[in-house]
Amino acid sequence: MAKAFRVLCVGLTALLALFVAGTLGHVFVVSPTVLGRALTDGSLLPVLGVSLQTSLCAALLAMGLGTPVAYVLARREFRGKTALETLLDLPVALPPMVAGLALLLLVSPAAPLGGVLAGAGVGLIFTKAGIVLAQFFVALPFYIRAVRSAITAIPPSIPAAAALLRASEGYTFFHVILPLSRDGLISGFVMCWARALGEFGATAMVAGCIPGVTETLPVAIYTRATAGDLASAGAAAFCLAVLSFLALTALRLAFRPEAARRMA
Amino acid sequence: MIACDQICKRFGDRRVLEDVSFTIERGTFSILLGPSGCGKTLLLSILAGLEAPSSGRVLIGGADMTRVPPERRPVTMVFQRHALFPHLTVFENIAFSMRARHLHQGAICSRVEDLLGLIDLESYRHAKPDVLSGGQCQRVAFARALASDAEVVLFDEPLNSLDQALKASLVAELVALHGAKRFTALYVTHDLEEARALGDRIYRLDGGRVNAAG
Repeated sequence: MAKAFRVLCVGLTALLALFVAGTLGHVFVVSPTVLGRALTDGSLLPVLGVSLQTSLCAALLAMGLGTPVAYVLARREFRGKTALETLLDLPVALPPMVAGLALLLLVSPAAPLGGVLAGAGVGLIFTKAGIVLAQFFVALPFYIRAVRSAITAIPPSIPAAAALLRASEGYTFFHVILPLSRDGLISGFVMCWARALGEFGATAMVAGCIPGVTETLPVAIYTRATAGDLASAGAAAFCLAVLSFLALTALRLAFRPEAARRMA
Repeated sequence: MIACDQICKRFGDRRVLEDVSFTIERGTFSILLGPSGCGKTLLLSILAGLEAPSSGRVLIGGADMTRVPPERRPVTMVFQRHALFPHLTVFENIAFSMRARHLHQGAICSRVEDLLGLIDLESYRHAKPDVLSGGQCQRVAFARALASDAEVVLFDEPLNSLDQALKASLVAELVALHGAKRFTALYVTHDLEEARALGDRIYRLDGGRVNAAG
C-alpha cells in the first residue's frame, strides 16, 4: 500500500513537471536568429527597458510603503484588522482588468483625485508613472504577505527585550525587526517585482500601449501575437520567462545556505 | 523600590492574579516562588509593562507606572530563553541599550568591556549568540540587563533550561554580580533550592495570591 502510494506521488510529480516544462519549453526554445533580430532591430530593447524600469520602481514603492503596513499587521491587534487584511489582499483575487478599470476611474482627469493630479501637472494615464501605479497596486499584496510572515515569525520576546532595554519602537523597528526580517524583505521584493514584471491587464488599461513609452513586455507579447507576429511575440516572451526564471533562481540560491544552517 | 498594589488579572471569567500586593526594597534580591502555570511570568510581565493589569497599580520609586509603556519604565528583564538578538554580536547585544539611548561611543565601549570582564566572556565579544552555550547566553543576557541601567531587574526563570552543575555555577555568578552592582532584583522560579541560594526575601505565589514566605 505504502509502495503504491509512493509510486502514485512520484508519478503525479513527474506528470506535473512534464506538463510545466512542456508548456514553458515553447517559450524558452526561441530561434537564436529571431531573438538576435528582435534584440538588435531596436524593437525589443525599449520594451525591456520600460518593463525593468517600471517593475523595479513598483517593487521599491511597495517596499517603502508596504513594510510599515506589514509591521502593523504583524504586531498590532485592532478593530477592523481582518477587514483591512482582506482589503489589502483583494488585488490578488481581483481580475487585473477590474483593477485597471478602477485605477483608470480613480486617476482620470474627470475624477477628483485625477483632477488634482492633472492640476499639479502629474499625468498618470498613458504614462510610465501609470504603469508603475498599476503594477504597484497589483503586486503590493505579495510584498506585504511575505514581510508580514517574516515579522510574525520573530519570537515576541525579542521586541519585548528591546523595549525593556529602553529602545523606542522606531529604534527597535530599524535595528531589530528589519534586520531579523531580512529574508522576508528580500523574498517579498523579488516576488513583488516578478509579479509587477508580468502584469498585463491593469497596465494595459491605465497606460495603454505606446511603443517605446508605455509598452511593457506582457503588453508587447499580446499586441504582437494578436497582430500575427508570433516570432517577435516569442522573443518578448523568452525575455520575460528568462527574467522570471533568474529571479526565482536567485531567490532559491540566496536562501539555501540559511535554510540549511537552520535545519542543521 | 518596586511595588504591586492590589494587582488583579482576569482572562474572561478566569482570575489568574487576585489582589497581589507586595513591596521590594531597593538593592534587595527577592524571589517569587510558585508552581508552573501559577501566573509568575504574567506578574513579571505586568511589572515590566508588557501586560496591563485588569485592576491595581504598579509603583516604581513611588511613582505610578501602571500605564507607562515598557521602554519608559526603569525596569529590564532577563528572559527564560535569554532573548538575545541573534543578528548582533555579544558586544552589540550588551551595547544595545546604551546605543538605543544614544550614549557616547567611548562610554559604551568601556562599559561593555567592563561587563564582558565581569561575565568572563571577553574572548567572545565578536561571536553571535548561535555559537554560545545556554549558560554563556544567559551570562550575556545578565550583562545586557545590567548595561540598561534599569533600577529593577526582573528574572523570568533564566536558569530553567540548564543542567544542575551549570545552574549552581550561574547562581554563584549571579550572587557575585548582585554583590558588585547592588541592583534591585525580582527573580521568578519554581525551584526552592535556587530561591534559597539567591534571595534576601522569598514571596510565594499560589492560587493567584502572594504571601511572604521568608
